[in-house]
Amino acid sequence: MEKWKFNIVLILIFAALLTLGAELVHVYEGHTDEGHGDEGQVHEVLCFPGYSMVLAITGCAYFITAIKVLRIIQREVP
Amino acid sequence: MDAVPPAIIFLLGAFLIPFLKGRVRQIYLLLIPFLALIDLVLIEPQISYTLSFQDMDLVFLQADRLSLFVGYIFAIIGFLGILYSLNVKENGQHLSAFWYIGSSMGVVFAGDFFTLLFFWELMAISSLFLIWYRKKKESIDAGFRYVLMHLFGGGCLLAGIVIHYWTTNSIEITSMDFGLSYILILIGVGLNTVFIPLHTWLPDAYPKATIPGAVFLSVYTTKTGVYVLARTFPGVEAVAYMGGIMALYGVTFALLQNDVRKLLSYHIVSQVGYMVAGIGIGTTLGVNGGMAHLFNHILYKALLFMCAGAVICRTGRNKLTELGGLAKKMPITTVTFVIAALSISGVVGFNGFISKGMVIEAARSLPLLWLLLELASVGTFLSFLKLGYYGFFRKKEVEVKEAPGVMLIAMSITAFLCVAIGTYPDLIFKILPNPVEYHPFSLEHVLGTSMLLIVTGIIFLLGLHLFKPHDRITYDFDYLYRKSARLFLWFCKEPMTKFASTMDKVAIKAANAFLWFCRNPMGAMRYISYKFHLFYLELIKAEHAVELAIKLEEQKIRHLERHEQIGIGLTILLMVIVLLLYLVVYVMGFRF
Repeated sequence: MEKWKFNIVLILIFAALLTLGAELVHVYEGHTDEGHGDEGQVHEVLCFPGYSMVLAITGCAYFITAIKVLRIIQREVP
Repeated sequence: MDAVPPAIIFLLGAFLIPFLKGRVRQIYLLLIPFLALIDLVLIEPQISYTLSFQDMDLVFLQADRLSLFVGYIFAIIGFLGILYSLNVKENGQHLSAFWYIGSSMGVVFAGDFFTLLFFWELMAISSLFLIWYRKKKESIDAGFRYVLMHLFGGGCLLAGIVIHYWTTNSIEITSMDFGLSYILILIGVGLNTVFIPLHTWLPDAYPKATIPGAVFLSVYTTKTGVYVLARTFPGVEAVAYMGGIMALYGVTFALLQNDVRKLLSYHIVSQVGYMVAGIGIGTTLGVNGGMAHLFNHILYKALLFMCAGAVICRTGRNKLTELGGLAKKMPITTVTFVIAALSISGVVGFNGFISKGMVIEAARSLPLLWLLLELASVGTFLSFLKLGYYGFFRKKEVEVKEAPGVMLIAMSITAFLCVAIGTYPDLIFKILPNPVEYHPFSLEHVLGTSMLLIVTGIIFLLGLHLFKPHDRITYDFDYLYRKSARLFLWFCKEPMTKFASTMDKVAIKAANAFLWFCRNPMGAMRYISYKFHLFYLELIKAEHAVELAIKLEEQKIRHLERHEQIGIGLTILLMVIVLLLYLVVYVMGFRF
């Protein structure tokens, strides 16, 4: 596997672990809502970066695919 | 002292420009937008400057919090844009810029649809010259396409307004009810607001405008569209989703561009998408977010076009494949570019972070829209990382000077405003159309956005070669339009021309036949009856068909030689038959 692909997989695993950890803390603390008080801080600190990382990777994957697909229908400058 | 409509200051102020020279002209150019800004500060919510026309009250100054909010930023950026273009020698460019700003102000403060339409069309025409003044063939062609699209949009808007007036007997600018006028006005406004697929005029024309022209164009046309959309279609869910599509579509195409200003033009489509989404959501936070994004976008997008203009001015190049190494040679331009890029990307501490956050927060009720907007954020950052790296930071030996002084001053002030609003958002919260209950620096928002952008940045660095610019042309919807236009022209040239010439021949033959009949009606009727008889005989292969054919030839010659008169009795009989036929048709209810 190329180095950059390996690094992306690492980030993805890290993001997934972070999100999972946040959800575990969320369940452990017995919250049923989003928890914006003091008790919900741990959840917020861990969870949203985790989701954001997943979103960023999804977004980048979409754009890289879109670039590759749209390049097929590009034409050379005359 | 009563305030006057700000449009008047710009429209009338423009007339003096050709008579002034040197420093006096430069001071005068700055004085007009400054006066307009003071005028705007003096304006309080009101309805004034009305003119009665054909039982209608045309209102030239209807000020409320929404129009004043848009008016402020239009005047501020008008001042900065004029400061940026102070070194431009051609009076015509300044004149069209003043008219463009003035007509945009006219749209914002118009109190009725007809006044709005007047300034709307004036805006299209005056902005056209900012494209044509580049005086290149590609600019002239793009200008024609630009004005054609805007005439189509203006036509739809006019038709919609007329139908709206017929049905409601009102020309007040207000939320629309669904119907034909609703659709037509939405298309007309949607064309200026670059709805997909009506957006093609923007990335086609803006990169071909003059350097200061592109700065002005990036501000006014699309934002007046957003403003009118906020007045007429707030809370329409389809509009919100259109915003989401625009945000993602624009940024996807921006990533493929090699021309710096074309890349920025596609980003206008994307960023206007956020505004449209906010208005379409229609909640207080949504509309506030959309309008706050309009304000912020005007600042950072004008700044980006200023930076691109400065680079083109100094290097004479506009393609990423040809640029690079500018960070060392043009440090102030680079710093202002970085500020604008961080602002548009929504980095914490810059103005885009505030307004983009408001729109995305408002979109939480519509998960698909929320996802589209978040994905577009990722693409925006990727796109500006690409522009920054290949345009400014990659290693390349170039010999260029820093941008001219007035350009740098304008860029620095605009950059300062981006940071000021990003760190102290109350500056715009206090003047937004609705009361604001939003805290941009919440832990969730700061952490979430930061992590989103950090990971995007890491992925960009890891896969740098994937985003490498290529000097290629990307097909967009304009490809279909051009093909359709060519097909239409061929249809006019080939089948339509042939049809017309055939019809022409038929008409001439019919006229000749009528003349032939009128010359000798009895003989003609006899000839026709012989002809039918002959046809019948030939059909049944009768023996005396040859005799009849000879008789027919004789009749034909006789017809040309003799002029027989119809008897009076036969004439009366024919007239009675015609009158009876008319009576029957009349009684049956048909009238000729």
